Amino acid sequence: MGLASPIMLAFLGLFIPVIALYLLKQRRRRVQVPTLLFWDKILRDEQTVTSLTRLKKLLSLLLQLLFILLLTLALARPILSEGLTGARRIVLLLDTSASMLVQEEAGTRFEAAKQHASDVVKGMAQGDTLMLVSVNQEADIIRPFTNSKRDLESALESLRPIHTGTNFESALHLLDHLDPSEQDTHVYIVTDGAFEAVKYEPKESFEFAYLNVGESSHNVGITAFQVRPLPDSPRDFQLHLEVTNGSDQAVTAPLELRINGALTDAYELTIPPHEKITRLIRQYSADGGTVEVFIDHPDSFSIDNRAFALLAPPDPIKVQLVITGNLFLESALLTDRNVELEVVGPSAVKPSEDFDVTIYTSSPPKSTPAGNSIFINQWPGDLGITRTGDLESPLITDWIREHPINRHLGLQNISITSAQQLSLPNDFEVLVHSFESPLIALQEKTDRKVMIVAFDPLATDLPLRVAFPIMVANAVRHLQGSGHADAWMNPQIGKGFSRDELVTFAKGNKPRTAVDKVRGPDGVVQFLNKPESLVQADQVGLYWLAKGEDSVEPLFAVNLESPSETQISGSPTIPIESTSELHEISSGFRLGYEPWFFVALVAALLSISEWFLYHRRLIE
Amino acid sequence: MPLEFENPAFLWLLLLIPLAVAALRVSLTDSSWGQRILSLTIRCLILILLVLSLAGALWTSQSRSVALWVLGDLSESVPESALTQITNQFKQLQAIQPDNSELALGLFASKSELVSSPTHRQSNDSTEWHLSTDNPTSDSNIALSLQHAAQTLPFNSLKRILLLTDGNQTQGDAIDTAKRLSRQGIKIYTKTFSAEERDEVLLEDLLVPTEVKKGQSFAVTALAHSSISTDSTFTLYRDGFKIAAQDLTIKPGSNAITFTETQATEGLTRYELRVTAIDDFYADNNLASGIVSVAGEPKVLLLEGNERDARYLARALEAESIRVEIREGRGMPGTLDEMAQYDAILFSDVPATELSVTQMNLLRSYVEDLGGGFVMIGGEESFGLGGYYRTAIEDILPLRMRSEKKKDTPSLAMMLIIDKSGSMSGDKMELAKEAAIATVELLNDRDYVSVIAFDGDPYNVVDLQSAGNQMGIVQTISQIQAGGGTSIHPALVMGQESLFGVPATFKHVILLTDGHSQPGDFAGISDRMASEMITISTVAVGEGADGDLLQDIARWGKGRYYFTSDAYDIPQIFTKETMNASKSSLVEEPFLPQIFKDHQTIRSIDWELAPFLFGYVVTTPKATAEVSMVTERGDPLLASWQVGLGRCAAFTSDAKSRWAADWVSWPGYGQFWAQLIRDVMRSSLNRGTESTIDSYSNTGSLILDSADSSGQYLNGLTTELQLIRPDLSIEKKSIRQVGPGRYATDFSLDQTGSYLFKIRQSTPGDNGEPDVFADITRGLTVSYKPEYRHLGSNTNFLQELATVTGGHYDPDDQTLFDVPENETVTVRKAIWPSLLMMALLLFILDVALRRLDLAGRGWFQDSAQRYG
Repeated sequence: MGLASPIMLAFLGLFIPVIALYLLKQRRRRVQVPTLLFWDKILRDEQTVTSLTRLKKLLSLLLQLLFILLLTLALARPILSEGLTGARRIVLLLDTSASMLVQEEAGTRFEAAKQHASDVVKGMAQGDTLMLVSVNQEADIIRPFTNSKRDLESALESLRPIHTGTNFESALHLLDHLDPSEQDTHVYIVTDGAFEAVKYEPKESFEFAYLNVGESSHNVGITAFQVRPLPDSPRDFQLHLEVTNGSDQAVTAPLELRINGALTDAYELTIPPHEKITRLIRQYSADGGTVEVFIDHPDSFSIDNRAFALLAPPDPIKVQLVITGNLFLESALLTDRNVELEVVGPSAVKPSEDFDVTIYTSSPPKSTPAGNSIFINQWPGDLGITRTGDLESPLITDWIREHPINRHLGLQNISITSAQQLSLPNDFEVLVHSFESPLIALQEKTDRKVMIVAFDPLATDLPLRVAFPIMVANAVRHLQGSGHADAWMNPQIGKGFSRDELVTFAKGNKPRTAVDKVRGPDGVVQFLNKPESLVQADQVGLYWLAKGEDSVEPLFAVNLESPSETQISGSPTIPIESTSELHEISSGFRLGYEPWFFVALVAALLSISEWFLYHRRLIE
Repeated sequence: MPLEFENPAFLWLLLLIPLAVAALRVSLTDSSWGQRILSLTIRCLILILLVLSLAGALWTSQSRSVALWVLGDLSESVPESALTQITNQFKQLQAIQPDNSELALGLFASKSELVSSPTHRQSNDSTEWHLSTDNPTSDSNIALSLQHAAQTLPFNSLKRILLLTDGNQTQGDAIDTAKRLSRQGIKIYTKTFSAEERDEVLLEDLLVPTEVKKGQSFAVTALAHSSISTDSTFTLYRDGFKIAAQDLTIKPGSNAITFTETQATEGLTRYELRVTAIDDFYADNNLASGIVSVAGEPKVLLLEGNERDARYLARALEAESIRVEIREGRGMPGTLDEMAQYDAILFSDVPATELSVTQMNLLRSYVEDLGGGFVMIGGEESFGLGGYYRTAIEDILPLRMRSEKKKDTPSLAMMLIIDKSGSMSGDKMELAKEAAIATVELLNDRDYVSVIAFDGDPYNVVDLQSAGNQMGIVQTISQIQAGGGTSIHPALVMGQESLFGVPATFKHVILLTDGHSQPGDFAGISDRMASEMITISTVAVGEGADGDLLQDIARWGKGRYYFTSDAYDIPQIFTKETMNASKSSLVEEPFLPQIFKDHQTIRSIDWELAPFLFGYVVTTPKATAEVSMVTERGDPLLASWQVGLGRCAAFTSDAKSRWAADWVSWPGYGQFWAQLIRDVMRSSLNRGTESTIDSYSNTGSLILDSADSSGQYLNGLTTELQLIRPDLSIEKKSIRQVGPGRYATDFSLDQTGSYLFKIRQSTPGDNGEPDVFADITRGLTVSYKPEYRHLGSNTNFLQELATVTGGHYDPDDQTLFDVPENETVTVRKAIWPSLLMMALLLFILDVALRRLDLAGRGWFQDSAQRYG
C-alpha cells in the first residue's frame, strides 16, 4: 500500500488546533439564578458525573480526530496495488463481434462485458487516461485517451455488437503506436475468446489482463453458405452449406429451406460433436429470388442459425436468327426458355451489337461483324478460312468432349451428306473433327466469338437427334459468355457499400439506378444521399431496396460464415499468444472505486453519526 | 452551472442533511439557537462537500486551445525536397503558434513516428528531423499515421492534423480512417508538396488472362497513365523476345493499349510491356508484366553440352509427343518463372562450370517446390566429372558424385597452386580454400596431394603426402591468409620439384590466380613438367587475371584453361578437374544394362534386345534412391527418386552417339526416354479447374472454379496451394471452399517479381491414394513497387480526406490555429480534493464553534434569555 499524494498528510497538522480546543478549559458560563437550593444536589453528584463526562469528551475528541484522519487519508490517495505511482494509461479492448450476442444466464455476453468495462472506467483514478477500442472485424478507436469517465461511459452505452468476426490482431497492433512512456500502461481485454488465435509480441512492457465473459458452449451454426446457379442450366442452382457443431454432443436438428419465403424443403442434419458437415443441395427457381436456410436448434447463439442468399433471375440471351427457312434451328432455339429470339430475313439484318448472338444460316455479311456470330456453311471472307475441297459423307471422328459447347453431346454416327473441306487459321479451335477436316470450329477473340459449321445441318440427321437442341443451347450460352459472372457470391459481412457497388450487385437484374434507401434485416433504413455515403452491411440477412415504408426488392444478402464465432465455447484462455504475460481476471477487474472514495464515504457517515451523537449528548 | 458528476447516484447522500436538521430538533445540547444554526450550517456544508466529492464532481470549462500534429510523408514517391518542405512548414507553424496551443511533428512512410514531442510555446530550435532507418520508404501508409496521431493527440484540446503528403497511399484506407477520426472530433487538413511538374508516363497494369486454351487468341491490354501528351513506343515481349510494338501519341490521363496475342506458346508464358516516351521522369514504372498459362502438350528443356548432339534425344521425344527445347549449357534460365515454363529440365553433358550457384539453387527450388522434373544424363562433363560435387544439384540427384574407388584405378598426385596475394582476400580466398578442401575429399588413400600458396614467393602449405590424412590437410588449408604480390613462376618450379619422382600414375597441377604475374620462363617450366608427364590446368578468377598467359600455360601443360568472373564457381572447377585428372569416375567399355529393380520407367521395353552402351560415369547411389538399372560392374546406371514435390532421375551413360551409338537406332530408345521423362515430369493435370489470379495494390486473390466435364460443380476437393514468392520463400496453405465449385484465398504481395502458384486439388481415393483432380502451376508478376504507380499529387484524394473530417485542403498557416466561435472542447476537472480540503477546514471551524462558548461572549445574547 502506498500513497499517491503523501504531501496531503500535512493536513494531519489540524490535529493540533482540535486537541488544543479540547484542552482549553471551557469557561463556565455565568448564569444568574434566583436560588442555589437546587444546585446543591447537582454539586454533590458532580463527583460521579465528571468521569463519565471526561469519557464522553475523550470519545468526542477521538471521533473528531478520526474524521480529520479519514479526510487526510482520502486526500493522500491510498493505493493498494504495488508499483502504481503516477497516472496510468489504460487501453480497453472490448469485443463487439457477433459471438458477444450469445445469451448467457444473466443476459448477453456483451452486457456482461459492458458492465466490466464500465467498472474499469469507474475505477480510473485522477490523472488516468483510457482509450476505448471496439474490436470486431476492425479495431475501431471509440475514444482516444481521455480522462473523462462521463464521456467514456456514454461511449460505452452507445456501443453495440455487430454480426462480424473478431480481428484482435489489428486491435493489438494499435498498441504499437503507443509511445514508450513513464506511464504505466495497462491493457484490459474484455472478450469471450471466440476468435482465431493471434500472435502478438508487445514492444513495451505493458501489463495485460483479460476477462473472459464466455461461458455457454452449446451452439450449432451455419459456417458457410453460398448459392450458385449451375453453368448449363441457370434456373437450377446449387447450395453449398456447412454446418458446425460447437457443442460436446452430437446434434440432430431440422434444416428448413425457403425460396422466396415459401418453405420448399426440409432436411434433418446430424452433426457429430465439434465437427462440421457439408451439404450440397440442388434446387430450382424459375425467376431467382431469395433463399433462406434455417437450422431449428435451440441454442444460445441464434445469429448463425440462419443464412441467406440471393438468386439473380437468369440472363436472357438475345439471339438474332438470319434465316431462309430453317425451322429446325428456330424450334431448337425456342425450346430454350432463356432465349429471346428474333427471326429476320437476310435483307432485314439488324446490327449484331444489339444481340448476344447472331446466327447466319445464309447470306453472311462481307466482313465479320462485331459481336458474337455463328456462321453455318457460309462465312465472311475476312475470317481467313480457305476451302480446300468438298467431303462426301464425312464421319465425325472426334470432338472435344470437355468443351462447354460439346457438353452432354453424343455425336457418334451422325450422318452428314456433304461438308466443306477447310484449312483454318491458327486461332480457330476445332470442336468437331472429321477424319479429313474440321467440321465445327470456334474463334475466340477478346471482343467477339465466331463459330463456324462446315456443313448444312439440314443435309444431316443432326436436327433429328437429341444432341441438336443441346448443342444449340450450349453454343448460344457459350457465345454469350454467361456463367462466368460472379453475381452469385454473397458479399462479405461488415463491409460498407457505395451506391455504385450496390448497382453491380444487382447485375443480372434490370439495371437499377435509383438506389438511395436501403433497409437492413433489422429494419433500419440507411440513406445513400451523398456520393460518399455507404450502406453498412453488418447484420446477417437480406438488404432491400426501400421505397417509402416498403422493402421493394432484395439487393444482397450477408451471412456471418465465421467458424471462430460459431465456436462460442472458445478456450479457457484467450487465443492470444504473447511473450507478455496475460493475467486472467475471473470476475470483475481490479479497478473499481479508488480507496479514497471509500475513506471519504466513511468520513461522511462518521460526520453525520458524530453530529447525532453530539446532539443526543452521548458525546461532549 | 459548470458542474458535472461522474457518479450522480451518490447525490442521494444529500438526504443526510434533513437527518442532520432532524437531529437538531431533538438536540439535548445547551448551546444557543444561533450557535446551533451556525453549527448546523457548517455541518451541512461539510456534508454537501463530501457528497459532491463522492458523486465525482467535475468542474467543466470550455477550452479553445488547439493541438496540431503535423504529419509529413517521406515515402519514395514524394519530391526530394519533401523533408525540407516539411521542416519549413513545421517551423513556420512554430513561429506563429499561440501560447495555449500544442504542436508536434510526425513523419511517416511504411510506419509512423512522432519525431518532435508536443511543445507548448513558440520555439525556433534548429533540430534536424529524419525518418528512422527501420521505416521502409517503399510504401506510404497514411491511414496508419493518422491513427497514430489520433492516439497521441491530447484529449482536452481541439484536435487537428495537418497532413503533408502527395496523397499516394499504397497501404491502408486513409479515407475510412479519417471518417472514424472525425467521429472523435479530429479535423484533418491536407497540403501537398510544391514540386516542379514532372512529365511522367507510366504503366499501371498489364491485363492478361491467368490461363487460356491452346490456340486461343487473347488481348494483352496495358493501362498507361500520362501527365502529358507525348509520343511513345509500347513494346511487347513474350518470354523476353520482342513480338510487337506500337507507336502512338498518348494523351494526358489514362490510356489503354491493346495487343492481340494469337501465337501464345504452351506452358507458362511471361509477357512484358515496356513504354518509352520522349518526356518521362521515372524509368522504374515503365515496365509491366503478366504471366499467362497456356494449356498444351508437355514441354521439356534439354541442355546439351554440344547442341548438335541433342538431336537424337530431341527427335525421339518429339515422336512421343513431348516438345523439346534445346539450349547449350549457358542457356540455362536464370529465373524460376522461366524454368516453370518447362515440365522437366534435362542436362546432358553440361558441366557445373557453365551454371552459376544461383541457377543451381533455382533448379533445386524448381524441383522441390514447383514439382518440376530433372534428369541428369551422363557424359564426360556430367556428374562428378562436370564438377557437381557438393552442389545443390548433387543434393537433388539420387546419386552421389564421389565414387568409392576400385582397387585397380590408377593413383593421382594432385598439386594445387593457389594465389594468396592481397587481391585474393575475402570471398575469393575463402572459396579457393573451400575448393581445395573439396579436392582433398575427392582423393583417396592411394592418391597424393600438395598445396602451394604463393604471393611474391611460394611456400608449401601442405607438403606432398598421401591424401589419406584428410583431417590434417583440411585444417592446414583453412589457415591460409591472403596478402602480398603475385609471382607464379617460382611456385611452378616448386611444384615441379616436389612432384618429381612421385610414384603416381597421373600427376596434375591446378594453378589458380586472379592477377598478373612477375615475368618468368613459363614456357620452359611448362615444357619440363609436360616432359615429366605432369599436366597443368589453369583457373583465371576475374578480369584482372592474365588470361593469355594462363591459356598458354594450360596449352603447354596439356591441361584446360578456365575463366570465371564469379568466385563461387571455383569449387566446381576444382572438383571437375580432380575428377577428370583421376580418371577414376569414367568407365569406357561396352556393357549391357542390367535390370536391378522393376520400375515403371523401364517396363514394357524388350531389354533382351537392348544393344551395348559404351561407357558411363561412376557414381554411388544414395540410400533412398530407386536404382532400376545397373552396369555390369554393378555401378548405378539409372536411378530416380522424389525430391519435395518433384522427381529427379540420373542416367549415368549418355543418350547420344558417343556411348549410346547403338542405342539411338534401337526402337526401345525413344520409348525408354519418353517413359523416363514422363515419370519425372511435373504432373500438370487439369480435369476442369479454371483459375483467376488478381491483384489490388498489396494483396492478391486466387479464385479456382472447379467443374467436371458435364458442367457439375466439384465440391469438397482438398485444395493445397504452394506459393513461391520472388525471394523463393514458400507459403503453403489449404484453400477453403467458399461456394459451389469455388475455392478462394487471398495473399499479400509485398515483393516485386514473379509469384508462382502450385495448386493441387484432390479427393480421397478408394485405395487411400488421393485422386488428383488438378495439379497446375500459375503465375503472377508485380512489376514495380506500388510507390511508383502514382503520378504527382493526388489532390482529389487530399481534398476528400480533408472534407470528410471538416478540415480543408491547402489551408493558410493561420487558419490551422484559428478557432471559430462555436468550436470548443469541454474540459472536465475532478475537484474532489479541493472539496475535501474545504470540508476539513470547515470541520475545524465546526469544532471550534462547539468548544468555544460564543454565547458566553455575548455573541448570542438572545439564547441566554432562555435560561432566564
